[in-house]
Amino acid sequence: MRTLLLLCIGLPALGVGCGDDGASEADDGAGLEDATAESDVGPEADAEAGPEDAGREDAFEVPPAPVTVAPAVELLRAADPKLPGFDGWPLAFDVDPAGRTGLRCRVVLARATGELGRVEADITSRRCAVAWSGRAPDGSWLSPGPLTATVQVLPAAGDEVFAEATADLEIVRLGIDRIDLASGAIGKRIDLLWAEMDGVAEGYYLAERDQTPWSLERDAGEPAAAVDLELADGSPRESPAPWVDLKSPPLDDASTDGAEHDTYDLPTAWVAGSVIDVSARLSSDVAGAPGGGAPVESEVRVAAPPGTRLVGSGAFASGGTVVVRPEASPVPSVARYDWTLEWRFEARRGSGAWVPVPGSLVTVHRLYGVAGVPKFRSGAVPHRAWVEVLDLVTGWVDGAGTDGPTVAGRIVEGVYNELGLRYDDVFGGSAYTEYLDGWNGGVFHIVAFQRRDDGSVVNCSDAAGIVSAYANMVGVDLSYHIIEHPTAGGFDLNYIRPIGFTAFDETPFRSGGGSFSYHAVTGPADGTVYDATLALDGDGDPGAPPHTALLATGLPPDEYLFDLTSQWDEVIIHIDDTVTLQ
Amino acid sequence: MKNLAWIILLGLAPAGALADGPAAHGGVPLDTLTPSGMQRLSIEAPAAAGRPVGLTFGEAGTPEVRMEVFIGRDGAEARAVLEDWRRTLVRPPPEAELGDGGYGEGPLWGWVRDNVFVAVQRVAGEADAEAIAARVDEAVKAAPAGAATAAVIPERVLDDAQLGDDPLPLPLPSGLVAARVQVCGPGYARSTRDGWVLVRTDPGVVTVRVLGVDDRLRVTRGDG
Repeated sequence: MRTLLLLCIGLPALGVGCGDDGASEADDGAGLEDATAESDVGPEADAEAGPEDAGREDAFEVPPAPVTVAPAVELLRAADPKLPGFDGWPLAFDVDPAGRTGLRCRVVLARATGELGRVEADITSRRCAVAWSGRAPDGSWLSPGPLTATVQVLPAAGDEVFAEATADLEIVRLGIDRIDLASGAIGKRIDLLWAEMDGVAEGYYLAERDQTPWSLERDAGEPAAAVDLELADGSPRESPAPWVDLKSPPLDDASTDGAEHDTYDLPTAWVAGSVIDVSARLSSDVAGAPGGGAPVESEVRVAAPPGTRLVGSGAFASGGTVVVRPEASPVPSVARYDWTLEWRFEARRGSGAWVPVPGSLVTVHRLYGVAGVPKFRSGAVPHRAWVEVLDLVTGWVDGAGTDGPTVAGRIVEGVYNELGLRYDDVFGGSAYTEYLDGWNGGVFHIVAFQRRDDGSVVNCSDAAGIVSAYANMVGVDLSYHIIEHPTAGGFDLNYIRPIGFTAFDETPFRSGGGSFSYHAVTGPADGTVYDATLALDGDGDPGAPPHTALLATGLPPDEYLFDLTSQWDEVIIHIDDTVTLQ
Repeated sequence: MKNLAWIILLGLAPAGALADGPAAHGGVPLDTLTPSGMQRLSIEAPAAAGRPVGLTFGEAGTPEVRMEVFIGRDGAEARAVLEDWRRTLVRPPPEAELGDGGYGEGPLWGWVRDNVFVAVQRVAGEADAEAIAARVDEAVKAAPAGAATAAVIPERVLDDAQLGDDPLPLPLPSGLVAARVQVCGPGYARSTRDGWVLVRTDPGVVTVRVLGVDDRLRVTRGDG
């Protein structure tokens, strides 16, 4: 009898599932009207007629139309209850009540091993729509694999089954265990360097530009059953948060180099405007069974995260890769960005419609936009973009621009205003910079400076070293220059406000001195001057109050010297060298 | 023969003027330099062989006194470093009666004693830099004669077979208190809590050069 009923409901089920959606809706509407029209002859009409009508021999007995039920086009055939944000498995069935009202439905989820759960709901708008938790009755996770959803159409009260249908479903495991970020047709990714791995000075850790920045993987110390997506007990492994320690990469004592190589989310750095190809490696690993959650009877595809489009196929296959590309550069300027990608999935069975899978994977990627590739003359470590410096500089620039003058200007402002440095007003001594060959061969001891090993009192050589090193790291080509009087051994100062000072002074040294034996600044090849050592009096009369603070952020050399010294027409700017880092 | 030459020169030449034999001071013991009440916070190997070693001292992790020490082969080498140090001061201090001569005032002192250059600078706090400089000068005077440099550490050339894929420990000679490790080729050196390691970035031959500082602040540049 049950087999016969199933065969009967098969025909309308085909009617619901065929044709385009619009046509189906039109048919449904017509059907609804028909059902309403036919309600007079439905069971309820019979009931209202009263018992006295029953058995009248002269009445023509019209058998009630059968109730039918069938899987809805949008019935989700595969889902992963472990996906973050999974809020229930939507199960939808189309019901033709054949004029009956007050119907309800029951959906029974089962496997060959037994019932997994059941959900009931009223039928509204000819639809049996329920949401199943996707878990066993005791709340535990179910293993991936096929199951059935049997829907029964029932009266409001009682267990008489008017119609029944069964749909094949599949629990799958959908995940991403690795994301690579590579420069697309436009732009370039650059190496990043952490300078104090595990708190050790010169504990350099280089993340090269082709290194995978995002990974989800079992740790060596976990039980053997653990896999990339799941802990050994089957609970899902949490996605890593962006790594924000600016000094050290994440650590793992079990790895050969001491760095975490299992689960991590490292920042990356890009030339501003880069278009980034995102390659996500897919996984269906379940605890104790790598790949064991792969779709078998259903088909799953990856939906491109908002703001991106798929490059190639989005088909989901465990171990396979999908590539998405943003519609616009996610790192358009010199700034720090946290780029969020929401990965969703869609499933279908056979040639059915693609139906969204509830839940999603959200990955967040910290991106540093820089003006260009590092400009050091040395290619050896530590001549790379330091994470801590990029974080600082991109914060200062904060999207103001990508051109060298803008970026260098923000660096000067940042060094002058934000680092807590103070000019050595006793002797103007260098704390972190030295010259190996006269004024050539400038060495900036950046390792010591970033740790403030020698304190926060600096001189012009230090400021020039900081500005040029920071600029070089973010792709702005600044060299250091030396200003000297060719014969006098020093030059007079106009009013200046040295770094860390609150007032202008033409004799800024405690001794009352008002001259420099030399002065170090930085600048690009065009000769303009960038100086974080001091603010000039930029009101056109630098030798007398009042004062208008002017930081040299791209000043023509003549203007700079005029504001700096009354001997502006005697001093010279010479030396054009790039600092090396130690 | 070389030892004989040292003996002859020691007998004839004044301290600090030794060109080819033992210098007046074979370094200065590191432990004699720490100012009273402070700890050594850091020691930095020089940027190059002819440059001074950097040290910082302070209390509770805050740097208060910075020192630079250079052990020259002779007095002339030390004086050259002194003049170079003075040149980079934007407003140099006056000449001072310290050691064989130098400059200094208030928080900053730099001088030469025989073949040793020392600079003392108070970078924070209220320490008496002049008094510290005087005590350091006494320590220099007391430092025994001997080789002015530490033995050169031979460079290592490593190929793919020797390097492998994992970071390679780079054991340094015992007695070094600081080192600057230079790597030429596809790799870099990383300092760890267990010493230096070589991290390769690509296949290829790598050359490792080490500039070390021993516990008497002598630099590994040979010819001492």
